[in-house]
Amino acid sequence: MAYKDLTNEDISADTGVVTSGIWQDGASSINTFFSSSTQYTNTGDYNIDVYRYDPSANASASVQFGVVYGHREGSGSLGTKGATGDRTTAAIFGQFNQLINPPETTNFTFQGNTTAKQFYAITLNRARMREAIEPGGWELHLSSSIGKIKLVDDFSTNNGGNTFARNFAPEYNVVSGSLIGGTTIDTAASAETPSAIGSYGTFYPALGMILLNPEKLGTATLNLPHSTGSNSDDRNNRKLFDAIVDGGYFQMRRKEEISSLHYFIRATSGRFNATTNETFYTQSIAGTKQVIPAMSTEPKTYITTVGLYNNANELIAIAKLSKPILKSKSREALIKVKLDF
Amino acid sequence: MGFLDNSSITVDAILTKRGRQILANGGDLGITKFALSDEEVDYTLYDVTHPNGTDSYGAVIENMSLLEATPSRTTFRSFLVDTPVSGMTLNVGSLDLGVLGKNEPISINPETVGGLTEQYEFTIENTNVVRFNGGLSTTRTASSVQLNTQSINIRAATTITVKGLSSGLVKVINLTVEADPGSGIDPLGPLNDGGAGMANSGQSAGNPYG
Repeated sequence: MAYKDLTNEDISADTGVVTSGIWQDGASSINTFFSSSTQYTNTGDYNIDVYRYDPSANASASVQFGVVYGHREGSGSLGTKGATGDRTTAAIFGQFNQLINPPETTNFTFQGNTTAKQFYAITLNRARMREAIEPGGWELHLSSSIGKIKLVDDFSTNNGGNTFARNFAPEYNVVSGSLIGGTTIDTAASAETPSAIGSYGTFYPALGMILLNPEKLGTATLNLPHSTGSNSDDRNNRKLFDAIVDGGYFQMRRKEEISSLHYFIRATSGRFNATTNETFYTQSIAGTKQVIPAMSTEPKTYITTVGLYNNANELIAIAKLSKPILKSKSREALIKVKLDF
Repeated sequence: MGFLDNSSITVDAILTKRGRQILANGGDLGITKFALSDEEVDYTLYDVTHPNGTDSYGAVIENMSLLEATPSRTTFRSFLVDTPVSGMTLNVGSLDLGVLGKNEPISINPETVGGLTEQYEFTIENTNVVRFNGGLSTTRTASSVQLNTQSINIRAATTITVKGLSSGLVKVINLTVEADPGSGIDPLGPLNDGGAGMANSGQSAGNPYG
C-alpha cells in the first residue's frame, strides 16, 4: 500500500511573522523618488504616484506609494460649491475621513489639534505592503529650502497605539526621530508645542497609510509651505512630493503573518523499501517483472517527492526534496513538510 | 569532538490545483495521509561496480538535483511501497485510446496479473475532457470504471492514471477528444468538479461506479 496515515502527532501548526523590505527589488530603504509625467498630467490634482525608478527610462519601474493632500472645504483645488471644478482636495478629505474616522466626524485629530481640516497622506501600494507595514520600522526624511526633519512613528514608546476611537487600530503618532542606532524620539507627540497645531501626524499600519499634519510641517525646522486658495489648483501634494525627493530617504518594512502547517513524514525502517518505479525491475520476455540485480539482495529506494492526500485520495499538496534521499530496511527517514498559507 | 547531526530534512510544499480549489471554496484541506514517490530516479544508475566501494554505489542518484514541484499534478509516476511488485503487472488494456468523439463511453477494467485481486484508484487529469459516469470528481476508487468523453470546443488530450491500491502499480492511459463546434466548453478552462471530489471518500471496495 502506498499510503501511510498521518496521526495528530505528525501534524503541527504555527503562525510566524515575516518582515521584509517593502520597496521594489526588496529594498528596505530608497533614496530616489520619481513621478510619472503622464499620471501627473491626468490625475495629479488628486494624487501623485511615486516610483523608485524613473518610469520614463525604466520599464520595470512600479508604483511604490501615492501622495495626496486633502482639505475639508476643497481649498487648494479647482472648483467650489456651485461652480465647476472637481474640488479634488475636498474629495480626498471626504474619502479619508469616511474611511478612517467614525461617523459624524468632520475633522482629523493630531494630538492637541482636534480640528484639523487638512492633511497630507502617504498611501503604500497594496502589492508592496501585502498585509501591513511594520510599526517602528519606517523612517522618512523631508527636506525644504529651510530645513530637514526625520519622521518615525512612536511604536517604541506607545506599543498599543493611541486610544482615540477610529475605524482602524492600532493608530500611532508620527514623531520627529530616527531609527539609526535604535529608535530615538525627539519629542513625544503629546508634548509637541504649540498644542493647538498638534503633532506631525498619525500612522495606520494595517491601512498602509501615513497622515501628515500640514500645519505642523509648516512650522519651524521644515517650514514646508502649503496653499489654501479658494478655487485654486495649488497642488499641495506636489510640495510634499518635492520634500520627499529632497529628503532623499525613506525606510520601511512590511509585515506578514504566515500560518504554517508542519507534517512530519516518517518513513519507518520496515516500510517504503520497494517501489513501482519501472527502472527498479527488469522485464522478461514473458512480461514478468524482476528486481534488477543491484537491488535484489538488499533493496534500497530513493525518496524524491512527498505527496499529501485527503480521504478521497486526492493529491492536495506536493513537496519535492532537493536531492534524493536513501531509504532501506536499515534506514529511516524523517521529512518535515511545511505548508504555508 | 564532533556533534551528532540531529536535524531532519525540511521541505516546503505547494498546493496542487485541487488543493487551491478546495481552499478557494472555503473548505478544509483535510490532509490525512501521505505517499512517497521516487519519480525522476533511474535505478539502473545504481552502480555496484563503482571503484570507491559500496558507499558510492548510489552516488550518481544521490548527487542529482531534482525538479521543482508543479501544481498541476494529480498523481505520481511511481510510488514507494512495502513489497516489491516482482512478478506483477498491471494490465489496463490499451494505453492509447486514440482520438474519440463526444459522449463516447470508455470502460476500464484493470487486472493485476501475478498479484492478489485489488481495488484501483482512477485519476482523470482533465475532467473537462472526460468524466466518470455519474460523477464530476477527478478521483474514484473502484475495481473498474465507466467514463464518457465530453463535448468540448477545441480538440484536447488528457490522461487517466490507474493505480493499484495494494500493489502501487501505476499505468497511464492517454486519449484525445475531438472538437465539437457546437460546444461552449473550453477544455483548458477551469476544472468543474462541483466540489464532488471529496464526496467519494470512503467508497466501499468492490463497488464499481457507472
